[in-house]
Amino acid sequence: MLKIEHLTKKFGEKVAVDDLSITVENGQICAFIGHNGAGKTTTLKAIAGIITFDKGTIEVNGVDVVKNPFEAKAQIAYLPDNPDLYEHLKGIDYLNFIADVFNLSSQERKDRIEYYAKKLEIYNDLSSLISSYSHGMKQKLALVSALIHNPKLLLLDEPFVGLDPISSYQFKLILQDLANIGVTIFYSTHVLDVAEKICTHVAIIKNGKLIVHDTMEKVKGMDSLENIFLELENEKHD
Amino acid sequence: MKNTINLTKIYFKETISRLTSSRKSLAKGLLFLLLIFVLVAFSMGYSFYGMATSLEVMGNSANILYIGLLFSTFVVIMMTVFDTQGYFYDTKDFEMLSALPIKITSIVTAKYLSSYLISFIYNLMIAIPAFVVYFMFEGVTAGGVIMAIISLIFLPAFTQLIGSLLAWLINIITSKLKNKNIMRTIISILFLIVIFAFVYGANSTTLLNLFSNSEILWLNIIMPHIYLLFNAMTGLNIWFYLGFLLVSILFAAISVLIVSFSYKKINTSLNVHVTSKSKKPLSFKQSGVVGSLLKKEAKTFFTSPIYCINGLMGPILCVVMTFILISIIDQYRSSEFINMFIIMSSSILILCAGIAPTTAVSISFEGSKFFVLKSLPIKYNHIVLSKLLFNLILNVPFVLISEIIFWCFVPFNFIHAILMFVYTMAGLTLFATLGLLLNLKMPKLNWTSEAQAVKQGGSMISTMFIDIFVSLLPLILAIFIPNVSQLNVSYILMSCLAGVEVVAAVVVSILLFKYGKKVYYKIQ
Repeated sequence: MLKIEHLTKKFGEKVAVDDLSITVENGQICAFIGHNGAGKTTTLKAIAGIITFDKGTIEVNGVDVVKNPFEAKAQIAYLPDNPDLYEHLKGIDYLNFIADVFNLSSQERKDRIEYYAKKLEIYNDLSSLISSYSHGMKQKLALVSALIHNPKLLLLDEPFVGLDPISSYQFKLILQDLANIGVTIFYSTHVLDVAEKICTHVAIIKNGKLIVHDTMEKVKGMDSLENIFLELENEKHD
Repeated sequence: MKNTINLTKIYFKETISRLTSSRKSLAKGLLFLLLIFVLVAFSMGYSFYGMATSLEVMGNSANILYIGLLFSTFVVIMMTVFDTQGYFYDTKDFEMLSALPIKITSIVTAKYLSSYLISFIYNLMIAIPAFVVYFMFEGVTAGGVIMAIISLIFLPAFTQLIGSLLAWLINIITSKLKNKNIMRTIISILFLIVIFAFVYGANSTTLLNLFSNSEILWLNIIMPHIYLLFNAMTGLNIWFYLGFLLVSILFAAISVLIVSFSYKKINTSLNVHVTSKSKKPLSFKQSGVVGSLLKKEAKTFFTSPIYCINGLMGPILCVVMTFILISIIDQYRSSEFINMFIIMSSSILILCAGIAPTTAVSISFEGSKFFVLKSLPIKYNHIVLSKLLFNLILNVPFVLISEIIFWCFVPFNFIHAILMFVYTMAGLTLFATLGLLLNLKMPKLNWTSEAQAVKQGGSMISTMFIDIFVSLLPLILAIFIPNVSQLNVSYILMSCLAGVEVVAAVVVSILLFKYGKKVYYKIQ
């Protein structure tokens, strides 16, 4: 479970995240949507412990990310929107590095790397340098690295960008399988029709403030998520 | 012309901002760098003064200018020659700039000026004290001062020419090979060894000739700018001075032309990374966290030519300087000289090995990948330990080899050997921890070329300046302390220096592990 209470983050004078409170239960797939610069990435980075924040608390399955960062991060997998990985390593070297951090045995990592890398069709490229990968391949590698240590909370920033249709479909199935076994998934996206199909919940952020958080059915009703989002955005301009 | 100026402005702004960690601390950061710069320049000046005093006895005090300019050229070449390639080739902005209607010569000129700025700063540190000491012994003239000030702007042109030529050569070869990164590293190291061999071969007779005022024809041919400037300053000769200016401008023009030639072709080729599917089965071997971090550090280091050359230059120079010093000792075997020599050789070992520790840029070098370390459950202490260990694993063997060579060829006694060992190991630890602490305080994660991360950070420049100052301090103290050539006095001096270094290393280590942790978690 992810529990955020009164999260506030400022960059100088600009309030990037303004008193945001949200709880995402185990097994939920929550889409985190908002306009550019709304505060989505800032929120995700704060949860992942990459940036500090000014006010509020963030707990991952009861573990405070500030007081116990090590224990919190052990449960989290973070995928940035632009996965800049260690270009001088081979794909397998990077995955072994992540596996070492999470203390996976040789057999465990072998099984999981094979499973996820074959599903996302990157297994045959693992012996190559990351510098030779396309953007989509780096995205896939980053996804595999996020999944191999069985995280309890998945934080994904635009995870579908750069994925080919087959990998995109496979990844959706993976997310649904993970949610079914109780993993919490919190991801930001601009691809609203995918969010409609797979997400159980949706949270909409606007200018750093959470304006909507509910189940997908309640938020969109009979309309499309895109129309709901545009309506809410138009309220900003009115 | 407009594009050249605009691009140059952008690169200069980026360079200045990279010297400090944020706009707010720009003034503080620049002040700190200026302070260290002044300390180093003062130390260099003091060393030159000592040399000039010896030269004055032989009636050649004016030669201090030649020696100073030569030393400046040598140091700047060592510091920048292989980094120049990082400004021109395999940069992140190549594709973006290629898509714009900007001439290649404009792009290359802007990048050239950006790398010139760094050479200029390093050059000032040695050339200014050389000029000051020259004026102290030869008298100040208005014409001489004006010539000196203007020449400071043009002096780095020669080192830039060498850097540009090497950059072009290394990258045109690499662009035609597979496994480009590793090949570039290997070829760069080979060139480095050639340069060091040349320096070693040239050294012993050159030093003697410089002190005895003999003409060194081959030096005058290879470095005509020094010959021209020296004659211009000593004779206040405008024609020699114009010659110096013309030669420097020519060097700059040739540098830009060399790099512009096949610039696009080389960069395009370097950007092509062929996926080579290895036939070896994948390895799923488990390692500990620190071991895994160490492996990552090593792979990143050895596959980045700029990072690798920058980190290896000091340790290799250690061994080269050892052989150079041994060739000098042959002529001076008195016990008084040996007592002084222990101080000099220990200082030079630390000067070389501590001048560019990998730790001083290892946080910056993470760049946009820094999120990987921060988002993973890795303890801060493990990250620090892996970076420190890597630096020490790289440097300690070279320093130990140098010390063993000294012990074999120089009649040091057992106490000398122990003191040298303690002094150098404490020094290595000090600069490794200091470098990392400074890099945590002044990280530059938003670089577009590896050269910017490695050479333009305030932490690297600060660590280097502090290393030079700390290394020269014993030599300066040795000038003040009476009877330092006596055995007991040299023991006391070495013991004090080693003791101070040990204490400093412990203090900085504590700061790194306690204070550094807070700083690390604040980096965003």
